[in-house]
Amino acid sequence: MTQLDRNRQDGSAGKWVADKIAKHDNVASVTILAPNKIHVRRKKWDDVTIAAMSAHRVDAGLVQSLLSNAGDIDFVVNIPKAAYVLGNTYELAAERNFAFGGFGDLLSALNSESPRTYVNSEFSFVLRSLRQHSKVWRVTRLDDRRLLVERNSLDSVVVLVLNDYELTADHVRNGIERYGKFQAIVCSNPNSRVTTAASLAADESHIRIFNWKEFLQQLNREWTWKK
Amino acid sequence: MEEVSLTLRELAKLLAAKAPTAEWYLFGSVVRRVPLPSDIDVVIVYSNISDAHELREGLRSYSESVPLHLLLLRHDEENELQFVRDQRAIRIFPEEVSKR
Repeated sequence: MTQLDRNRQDGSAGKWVADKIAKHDNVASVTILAPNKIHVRRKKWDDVTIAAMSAHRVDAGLVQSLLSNAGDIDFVVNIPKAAYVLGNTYELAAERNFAFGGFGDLLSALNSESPRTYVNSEFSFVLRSLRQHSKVWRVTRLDDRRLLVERNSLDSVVVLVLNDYELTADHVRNGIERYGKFQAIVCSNPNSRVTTAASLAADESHIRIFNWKEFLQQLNREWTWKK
Repeated sequence: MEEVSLTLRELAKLLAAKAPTAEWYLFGSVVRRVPLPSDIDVVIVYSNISDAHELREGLRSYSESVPLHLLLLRHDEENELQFVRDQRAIRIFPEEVSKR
């Protein structure tokens, strides 16, 4: 079994996606062109070509291998919701002019005039908001949830951005296990609730938890913990 | 919803030996019978850290085939949040025995 095969168990991903999106309000017809390639005729706006995959760990090389010989693709959809996606995947998507996301992202993109330029609304808000901050000079997406924030005349910080309504001890522990180094967890969801156990788990690991407003304020200061 | 419940119940039975006190619930768009759900929302209430690890690993293969949104709540967190009640989550395992 090759490395690619181990990382991408997606033989039936195309059929699963095709069956589901056939029920989408803006989809007129769906054609499976290859096991991982789907053509969609939409009721409103132009046709869309989708590449489907199922991988728990995604990087640019893996997506490139999916796209080789696939022709022109508008959207690459990866089924596992908790997949770890390396930042170079998003760079490749920007370079090659396609969108990358999960199944929920695909459903939203099918409702947009240009699915190629679709950006998840949560991360679009996060990136735009940070790039407008006076202390921030560059933001780099390290992976699907971590950002490197480089600041004017202050040290850079790495944060894990979570959007869940409930921030639990498991989010903290699993975040550390999956993503490794970061200095704070930032809740981008304004309605997020942090459990007592989550706060304790974060304290034990010397990680701070901020809501979005607190995070923007903290960016003006030196971070003296977990360096 | 019935098909999803059946599959998850089978998985819960298989994983019961590894996480014996885990309670599995479905919530969100599948329970609300949204015509095209973007994911399958599952909350599992567990006891120990090791349970959470076993449950996540046990669901790894299933999560390759569907967009599974897994929320793992320790019993004390569920008591604090009352998530199951607030979300009107439906218990799928252990099955509730009806009283006569």
